Amino acid sequence: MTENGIGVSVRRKEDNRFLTGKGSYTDDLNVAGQTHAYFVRSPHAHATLNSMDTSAAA
Amino acid sequence: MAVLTGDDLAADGIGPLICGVNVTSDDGEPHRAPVHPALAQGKVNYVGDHVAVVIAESLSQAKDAAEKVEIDYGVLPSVTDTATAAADGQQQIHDNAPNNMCYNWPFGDKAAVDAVFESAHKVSSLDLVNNRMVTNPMEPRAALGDYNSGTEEITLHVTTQNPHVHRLVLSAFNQLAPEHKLRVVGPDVGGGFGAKIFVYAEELVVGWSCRKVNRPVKWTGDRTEAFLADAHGRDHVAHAEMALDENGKFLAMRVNTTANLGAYLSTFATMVPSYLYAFLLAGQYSTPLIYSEVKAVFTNTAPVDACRGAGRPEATFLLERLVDVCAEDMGLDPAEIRRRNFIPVDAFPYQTPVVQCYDSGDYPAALDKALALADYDGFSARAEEAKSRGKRRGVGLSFYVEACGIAPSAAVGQLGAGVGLWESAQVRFNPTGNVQVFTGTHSHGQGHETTFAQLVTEQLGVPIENIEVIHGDTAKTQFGMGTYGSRSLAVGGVAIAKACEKLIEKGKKIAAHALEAAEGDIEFADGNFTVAGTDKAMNIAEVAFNAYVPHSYPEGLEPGFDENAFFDPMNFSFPAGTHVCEVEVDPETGVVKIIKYSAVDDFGKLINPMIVEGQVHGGIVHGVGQALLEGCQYDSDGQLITASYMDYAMPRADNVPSFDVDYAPTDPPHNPLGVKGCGEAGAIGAPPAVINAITNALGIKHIDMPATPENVWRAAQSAS
Amino acid sequence: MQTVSMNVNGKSVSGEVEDRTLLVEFLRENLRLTGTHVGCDTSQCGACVVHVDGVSVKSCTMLAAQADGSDVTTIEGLASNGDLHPMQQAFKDNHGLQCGFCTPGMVMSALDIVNRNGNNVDEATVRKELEGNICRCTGYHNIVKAVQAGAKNMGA
Repeated sequence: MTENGIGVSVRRKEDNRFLTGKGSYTDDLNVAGQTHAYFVRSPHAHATLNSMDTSAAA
Repeated sequence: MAVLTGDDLAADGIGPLICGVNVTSDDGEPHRAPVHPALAQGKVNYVGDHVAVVIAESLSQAKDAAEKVEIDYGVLPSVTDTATAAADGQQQIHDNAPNNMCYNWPFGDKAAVDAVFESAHKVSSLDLVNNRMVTNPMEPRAALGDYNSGTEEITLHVTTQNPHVHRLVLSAFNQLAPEHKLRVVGPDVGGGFGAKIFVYAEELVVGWSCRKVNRPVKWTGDRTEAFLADAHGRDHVAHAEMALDENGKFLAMRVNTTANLGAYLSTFATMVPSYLYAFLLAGQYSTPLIYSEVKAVFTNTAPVDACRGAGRPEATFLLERLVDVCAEDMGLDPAEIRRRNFIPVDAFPYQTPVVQCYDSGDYPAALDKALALADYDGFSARAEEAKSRGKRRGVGLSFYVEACGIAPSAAVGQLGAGVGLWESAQVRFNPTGNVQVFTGTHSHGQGHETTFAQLVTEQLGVPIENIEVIHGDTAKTQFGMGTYGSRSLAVGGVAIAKACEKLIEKGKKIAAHALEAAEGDIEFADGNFTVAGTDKAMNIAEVAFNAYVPHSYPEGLEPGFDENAFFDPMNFSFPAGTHVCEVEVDPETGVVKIIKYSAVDDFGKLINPMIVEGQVHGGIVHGVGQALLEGCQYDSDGQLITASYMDYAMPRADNVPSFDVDYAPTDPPHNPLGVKGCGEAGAIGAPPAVINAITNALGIKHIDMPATPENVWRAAQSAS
Repeated sequence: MQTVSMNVNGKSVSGEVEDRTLLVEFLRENLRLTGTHVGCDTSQCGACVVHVDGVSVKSCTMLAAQADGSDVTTIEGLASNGDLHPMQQAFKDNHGLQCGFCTPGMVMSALDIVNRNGNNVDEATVRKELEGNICRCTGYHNIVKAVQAGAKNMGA
């Protein structure tokens, strides 16, 4: 068995970035010129979509 | 500012979301698969269903604009109850799914099983519910799409457990972009537990809309959206029966299950209550005959798919509850009835009656160790002492086998999966001697960057600080199938080991040339190539340098020190374990306190025991959450009434104790590393252990999950 | 819109915010201090815990304007000269984190627990006081160990 090989409780290599706030999760990423999306979701469990007017929103 | 709808998606030829596993229904037809558009087309089928997307300069502008989208809905009656979804006269949800049925999937020899039941000494039976869960990784799902019109490439950063699977599905089935023009990156991902395997509407819409508006588009879900629109887990209603002989031996089992798949089929939904459930119903027992019938139904609820354990917790909960009922019916100790029915140690590899062939196991060893760890013999004294304080103690055992190391491609292909489930790796030396390991698995808490580096330092002798594990980016890693089903080490780890072997083989040729020896005389150990019987040696870093600066180099050998490997497992792996839970119930309040929890698992060889133990802890609490706290509830109108952490009770630090964890490993002969997988074990073992402890404490036959104080109090009242 | 100024991790900062801008949004979006996370929308999960004037606060529950003039410490402000704070080190040594998403909030809450309960805080107290921080990965076992170990090391 090598020093940090199989069977050893090696402390995790990934921990420092997470412990210091340097993790890089999707929401942490930002690119120049980005826009933001928000989803309109159904408030009903089962319904027909008879019509949709997006003119006031767009 | 743009508002895009299902019509815009359809006009651009973007395909609907798909489910990739076929299950053949009892009429010989494939399962019913309703069309699942990423933005609704004409109809919505659950609260939270995606209707339109608003894209704006800021999130607050987008939210404000979304309020102004005027929609005229024609509200229809809805179906939410699992047990009655397929009943006559129910509201029909999809035109192509009569009676709201996705499939009815029988498995086993019904006539033979029925015959055994006819003549059995005893039949024990149980009705139970496997409560619906919301998976709840702590990081909500998110996506960031960026289209480069110069290269015509879309880069999609997304909260995924499997970036290459996302790319494959988005490209092949949704026509988002050709695979070579679509880069999917799963950066740091804040937990998955299954919920981030699937390709969701939001991710497809973000990838598509960034090209449409020719601006990067970012979407981050909030927790309410996670509750509404992440794939949920479990949600079964089942009736189970066991036929026993006069000695308590199991003769046959019969199970009838209704599984709620929600409004549409999520990416792997069909296989969870079928192949990942019925094929695990043998558990640790030698029950010779099993018949299972699974009815999968549609309802007006969020799609249901894999959640930590996926099918295996449902199977284990049903079986281990049923076996406790058998023990009670036969007047046997719960440990004793299991001993009488264990698959014998000398019977491995063991062919179960439900397809799976178990690799290795020593179930009595785990039981003995677990009983000692839990001080099972001292329980009655502790129960007496608790009684003197007006409390009721109970002890619950649970025994599980799970199928991990997913999966042998030929086997899953036969079952109807649309993909192979091998894994790939690349191990690359740089000229200066450090190593980059590229894996197709994805780490979102499992610690692959450490565990895989340990494999490489063990095999190649390179110091661990000189090894970097890279994952999660289709532009960096050659290919991969991702992380789920406790597969990363058992499949992905083996691929890494194979790539290391190739490097050693090549290194021997390079060292032989440099050391002026025959290749057959070169030995490799601890990072050094040596000429056998001499002190002539060369470190692997020097070999790597020679391979990139091949001034004096074996004739005909390719330069470079960089190897790829693929590994397709020959079988699943079968981790198993015994979990023992001791609870104290306050009959006045119904509060259940877990006093002690002991787990003894067989994961094969452990690479990093600290990480493995952490996986066990987390799994146990996921299972305790299901048993005591978590219950996703829709009302009869299909409104999700548990859509926040105010209403859906997640396990918190003060709901659980510290745990006693130990191992009873066996050696799976088909896995080159001797490993089995550990990520889901706790979530599988814990729910029946906890519920068996509560039924034991109260002297009742059964209590459904979650065993909240109210439910427990009511049960205690009716029992006393 | 209004201008807010505060001292974050020892640096004076200011920025333009809407009245409705939350402290966590100011930290993440204006200052790009993305170590502070948002895990829910009901002030339950604790992934966003920071310290404001030395006291732990869920930064999703405080307006940026309310923190005007305050001293704010985030997870990015704990390590000094590349050395982990003893509590961060204890989380690493005791495997008190897996996916890392709840971790910043856990560490900031842990420090507040030590501030209020001392270096020999017992397991039951730690568990009770961590009630406002949800973790899905670790089962809390190693977080509790880490908080107790970190507490001890902070007193050493």
